[in-house]
Parts: sequence; C-alpha cells; structure tokens
Amino acid sequence: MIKYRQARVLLGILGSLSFFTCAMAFISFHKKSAVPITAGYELALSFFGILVLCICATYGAQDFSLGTMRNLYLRTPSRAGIILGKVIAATILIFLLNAYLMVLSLSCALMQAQHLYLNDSLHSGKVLLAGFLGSCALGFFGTALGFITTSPVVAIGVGLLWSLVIESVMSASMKGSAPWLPIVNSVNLAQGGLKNVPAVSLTHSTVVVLGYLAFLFTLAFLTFLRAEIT
Amino acid sequence: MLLGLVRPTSGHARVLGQSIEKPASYLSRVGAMIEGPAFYPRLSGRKNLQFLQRLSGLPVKGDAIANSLEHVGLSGRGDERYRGYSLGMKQRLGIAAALMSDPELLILDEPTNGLDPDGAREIRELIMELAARGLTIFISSHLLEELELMCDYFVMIKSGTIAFAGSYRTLVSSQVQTLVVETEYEIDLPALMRVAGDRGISATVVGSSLHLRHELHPMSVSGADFNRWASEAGITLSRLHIKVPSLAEIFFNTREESQ
Repeated sequence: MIKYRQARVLLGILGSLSFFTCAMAFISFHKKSAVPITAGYELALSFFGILVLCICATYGAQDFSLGTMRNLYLRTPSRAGIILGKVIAATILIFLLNAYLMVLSLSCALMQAQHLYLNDSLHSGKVLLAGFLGSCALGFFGTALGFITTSPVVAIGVGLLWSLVIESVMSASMKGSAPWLPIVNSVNLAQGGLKNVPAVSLTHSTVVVLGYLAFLFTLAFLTFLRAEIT
Repeated sequence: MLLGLVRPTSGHARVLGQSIEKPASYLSRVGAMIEGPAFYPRLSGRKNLQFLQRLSGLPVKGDAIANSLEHVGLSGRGDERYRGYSLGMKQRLGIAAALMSDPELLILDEPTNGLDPDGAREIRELIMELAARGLTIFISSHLLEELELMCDYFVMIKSGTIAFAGSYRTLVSSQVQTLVVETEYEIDLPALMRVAGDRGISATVVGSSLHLRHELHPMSVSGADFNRWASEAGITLSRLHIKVPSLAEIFFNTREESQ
C-alpha cells in the first residue's frame, strides 16, 4: 500500500470502516444492557471481511495490471517467493486494519454502552484473535483470486459475486451446503463460531477454510508458475 | 525466455554461462527493460529506484541512485511523480533501473519504441555511451534503422531459425553492393550500359541513373575505374556513389532468399 501511495483509497477504507463500525456499535449498545464489550466488533467483522477480501484482491493483482510484476520477478526470481511476500504483506495490512477496527469499536462501546460487561478477558481475547484469523482467511482468498485472475476488477468481482450471491443462493437452495462453503466458514471463524452457522464448530470452520485456502493457493501458484510475466 | 519471464517449450540457451532453466543463477548480474518501463505511478522516479534497490537486496544508497539518474539525464526530475513523466523520461528511468545493480549484461527490448526523434536519439546516444564503456548490451527491436546506428553484432531470426549471426561488417560485405551512376545527359545512359556490359557488369536503368552490380562477386569494380571507362567512352558522369544496402533491405533480401 505504501508503494501505491493511494492516500484517497486509504482514507476511503478507513472512512467506510469507521462509519460501519460506529453504526454497528450504535446498534449493539444503544439502550441495551448487559452487552459484551466486543459485540460491536463482532458485528462489524462481516463488513470488514468483505472489505479485506476486496483490498487484498486488488493488491494481489495490481502488479500485473501495472506491469510491475516484471520488476518484482527480475529482482526476486522465485515465483513462490513473490506469492509468499504478498501473503505476508496482506497479513500485516489486515492486522493493522483489524487493530484500527478493534480500537474504534471498543472506544464506541465504552462511550455508548450503559451496562457493559467484560464477561471474561479470555473471551474477549478469543473474539479478537478469531476476528483477526477470520479476516486473514478472507484476505487470503482475495490475494489468491488476485493471482489467479491477474486483474483487480475481475478478482474483486469474482470475490464479491461468490461471497454475496453464490454462497447465499447455495445456502438457501442446497440444504446442508452452508457448513461447507468457504466464506460462510470464514465469517463463522471470524465471529468465534457462535453466531453464524449453528452446530458448526470452530474446528470444522478452520479445517474447511484451510482446505479451500490450500486449494486456491495451489491453483494460484500453478497459474503463476506457468504464466508469462509480461 | 532469457530472463525467465516466459518458459520455453523446447531448446536450450545460456546467459552468462548459466542455463536459462535456472534464471536465479544469473539474474542478479543482468539488467533489463522488457516491453517498456513499468513503475508505480504515484512514487517519484527516485523512490521507484529505491524500492527496486531494496527488492534486489542491495543497500539503499542515495549516491548510486543519484548517479543512475544523472547518467540517464533525469537528475533534475527524480523527485517528480512517475505518472508525470514523458515517454522518453519513462524509458530513461527504465534504463536507470536496469543499470542500478551494475550489471554485466544489459537486455533492452524496444528501447526507442514510441519515442520522437529527439528522444530516440537520446536513448541511442546513451546506449552507445554505455557500450563504449565496455558493457554488453543485447537489444531486441524491429526498428532496423535504429539498430543499424547502434549495433555492431546482429542476429536475424526468421520463423524461429537464425538467418544470420555475425558482425555488421560481415553482414554488409556479404551483400551485393551497387554502384549508382548518373550521367550529365540522360541520353548517354544506353551508351553507359554498353560500357558496363562490355566488362561483364550487370546494369539496370533506374529512373535517371544506372545501377551496376557485379553478378558473381561483391562490388569489385571501383568507382574510379568506372569513371575512367566512361570518360574513355566520351561520357561525362554527374554523380557516382556506392549504394550499401540498408539493414532493412538486407533483412528483406535474406527473408526472400530463405523462402
């Protein structure tokens, strides 16, 4: 993100994230009692996950569209190394944005809630960790899509189409399919496995998400390995 | 293929003694600009070079970058954003990036493509200056006129096979040269043809001039000899010069011969 110097994009991301987080905090805490302090954060994770998927899809593919992938390869002639570098960069970005989301959400909670409770710090810690891991899963899906499609627009389109439309249709029309879908399980993972898909454990979601990630990154690696870098 | 950007389906090649199947073994010693320069639009030229230097694992040295920018004539524009550069400036920044690692081999793909005459001349002079310092430069281009001005060793590829590989001098000397002669009076052209024909020299009237080719050998009759023969025949010449085929003409002739 530093090398792209897209200040307006960054401001837009932070602005939309802030707006959505404050809105979720308002919904979670306004005139409610006995609400866990992380309620707003958990609610905001769904939007955050989609945002992260789009951001990582863009930055996964942008070097192809700019033509700068040639420069990357000529100086680090390991295609696997380039993918790994993108994943590490995505992780750092997601961590920073997640930290911002968390701080903002907790601040809103402290300001708005009348009867907050911190049921236990471990729970809150687990929620925050799960949120970060679930966000990473969605971000990694986006990164893999970026490498496979080599186009930011196509990567975002495929990601949004799949996560917002296809999985919704499949969940509604194919009974029993929801526990096996990647985005559903990623969001389940992000929200601590408590709300999204009933009777689906965190372990199940983790295994499903890792399976899909392994498949997508294998596909991304094989695609990139055979691709002409032009 | 030489840089590992495209995987060959068959065949072998070596760069700096290393097989192209293992580009990592020689890429650190090669500088390249392929299919035009590509940099991050919102970074300045200087910051783009700094980024590439870090990516190469080289220590980020301001002096090295400043020298590279000065070398390509961008020292005063290095802090401007890349997206504001002209095409010629972008090409020069691309060459600066290729030179940063002090390579043993420089590979340039269409370095003057899309440039105006001034820009093309600047790039050409830069390349020739680098070559004069001993750097090996490999240029791929379809602009034969530009190659003719810059290069001293050529490889012509036709349908995937090498049609010619050698020095420019070898290439030109293997061609049939033409002596172009114009007479003071056009009516003397037929008589001049007879002068040539009497000495076994093939002659063709082209417009108002006579083109002379020796059938079996490259041009072996000197302009002075022919001038003397024409004078002995009472014919006054107004112009006489040896026409060396251009690289483009040689290229098309070679292609026709191979077909």
